Parts: sequence; C-alpha cells; structure tokens
Amino acid sequence: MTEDSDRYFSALTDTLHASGVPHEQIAATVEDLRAHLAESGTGPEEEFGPVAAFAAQLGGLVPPPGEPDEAAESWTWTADLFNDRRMLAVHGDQGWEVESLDAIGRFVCRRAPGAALRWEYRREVLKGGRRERVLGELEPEGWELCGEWMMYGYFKRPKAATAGPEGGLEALPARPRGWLFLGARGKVALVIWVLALLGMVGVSLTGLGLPGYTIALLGVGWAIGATYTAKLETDKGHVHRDREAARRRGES
Amino acid sequence: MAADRRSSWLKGVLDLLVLSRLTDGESYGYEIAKALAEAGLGEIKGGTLYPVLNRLEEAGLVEAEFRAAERGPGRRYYRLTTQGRTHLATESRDWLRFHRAVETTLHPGGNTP
Repeated sequence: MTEDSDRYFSALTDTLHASGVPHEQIAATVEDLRAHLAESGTGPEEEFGPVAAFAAQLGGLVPPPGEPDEAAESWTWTADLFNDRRMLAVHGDQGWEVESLDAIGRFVCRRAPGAALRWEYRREVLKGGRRERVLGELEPEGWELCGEWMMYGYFKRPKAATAGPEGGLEALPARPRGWLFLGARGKVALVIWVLALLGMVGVSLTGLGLPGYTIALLGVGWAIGATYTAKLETDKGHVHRDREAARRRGES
Repeated sequence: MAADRRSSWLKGVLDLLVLSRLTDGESYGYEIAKALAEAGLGEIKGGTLYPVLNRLEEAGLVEAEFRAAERGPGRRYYRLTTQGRTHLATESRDWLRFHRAVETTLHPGGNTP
C-alpha cells in the first residue's frame, strides 16, 4: 500500500473517530475501502475524493450507530439576520447540530449525548439561479444544506471534517435557556417594526373611539416590553458564549 | 453540460440502481460499481457509492456484514432486506411512470428522432 493511501486512511480514521464512530466500524470501513482500491487500481483521493468531505459523508453527519436517537437533546432558537452566523458559530461549538429551519425561520437543533461534535456553519444566498453553483462548490467540501429561509441557505459541516480529533467535544455545556438572540442592529430593526405595527394598530383602534392617551400608553408599554425581553435573551446568549470561551481558555 | 445533466439524472436514481444490483443476492462495493458501469451507467466513484450504501443501511433497506479475507483486506457485503425489496418495487414503479411521462413529452405521438 502506498504512502498516499496510508496517509489518506490515517486521516479518515482520525476524523471518523472524532465523529464518534466506533473503532471496530472504522477498522472494517477502512479495510473495505482498501479492498476497493486494490481492485480498482485507483488512488484514494481519485476514488473517494478529499478525505474531509468523504469522512463527513461516511460518519460525521449521523448519530453514532447503536445510540438511540431519542437520547439526543433538542433545542429550537432563532436570531436576527445580522447576528445568526455569529450565534450559529457559538452554538455549533457547543455541539448543536441544525437539523432544519422551521416554518418561521427558527433553527431546529439536536445534540447527541456522549461523543458530540462541534459544528461549523455558513450562510449563502441561493436565489437568483445561484443554487446549483453554490451546492456544486460546497458539497464536495463536505458542506450539507440543512435549511433555507427566504433567499438564504444554511450549510453545516462537522468541524472534525477539517480539524480531525480537535473537532470532537468531550464535555457538553448546558443547554442555553434562551431562544432569541438579537444583535444591536436586530434590536433596532425590531423597534422600527414594532413602531410601524403600533402605528397601524393605533389607526385601527382610533376607529373604535378609544382616547388617544390610552392607545399611546398601550403602544409604549408594548415596545418597552419587547425591547427588554430581547435584551434579556441576548444577554443570556452572551453569558453562555463567554462561559464557553472561558472554559476553552481554561482547557488550553 | 451533457455530463452535468447525466450526473444529475444519476443522482436521482442511484439508490434504486444500487438496490437493484442486490436483488439476486449479496454483493460488495466495488462489484456493485463495476456492474453499474457495465450496464452503461458510467463510472461510479467510491466517493459517491459508499455514502449511498451507508444511507441505505441506516434506512434499513440493506444489511451489511464485514467478512475478513484469507488473503488481502476484508470486504463489507451488502444484501437487500425485506423492507428494501418493497421500497425498490414501489420506487421503481414511480420512476418508470416518471420516465414514461418524460418520454411522452419529448416525443409526442411516439416519434423518436
């Protein structure tokens, strides 16, 4: 067996191991693939493609075999479009895998117990005839389309695909208590949206004959409540992110 | 362009083609790829085939068993499950219906170029 093959299968073994695939299964897979190369007479990269992408397709995107899926944690959250990529990075590093986006654009996530993986994400515009080109570029690199919202497609990839064993996660941080993560620009957008909504409601209520100051008080109370709630949720997200960063500093 | 289109067609039906290679008994990765190439479907690289086999196994449509070889590396042998056989029959019917619709649309009146 050539040095190329040895290097390829060594990297594949490391990546599958970090993905939580059992040792016996990895050994059988590698032996099976070596048999394939022996018959085809091709090189590993030529036959199976880049090792990171191949490993992600073989083992990085599925729960470890034998592990009941019901044992996985689930969590649904959202963030504004200015803040979603940053929060995806934070939560991906905590082992949260986005399975889909629901009808209102929230990230529906799962996290396998035990040998969880760190995940990385990217967001790309898919509309305007870009879909085929974007998928064609990203899929060979191991990126999988995990959901779409408006014109955006969200892609995920286990960090083990590029970082090897470093992409695994030994200790799982607690599940974040919040579900809404707004950045500064997201809050501004929310306030503008609420004010516009209040304006429309005000026009409607005026038609009911309520006094002007009652409508104004209702509107202001609603706006303050919405902004304060958004702040609380964002602060929670920051606390979890900072704890995770502190934990990682402590490990290194 | 023609190769891209062919690749897209294959992507939509590769799982069924792999299942169909197992109807007469068990087989292994390289043998399946070779049979598909000999049937005129072009070269199926291992990087495409093994993820498909993995997904079929996870879905319970095939069962795999690794067997060590007396000489050289061992192989993983795949065989169709009952669920896989039913799935193949149903999906093949759907595919043929689709194929007929395409054919009728491309060649109305049954005239082929």
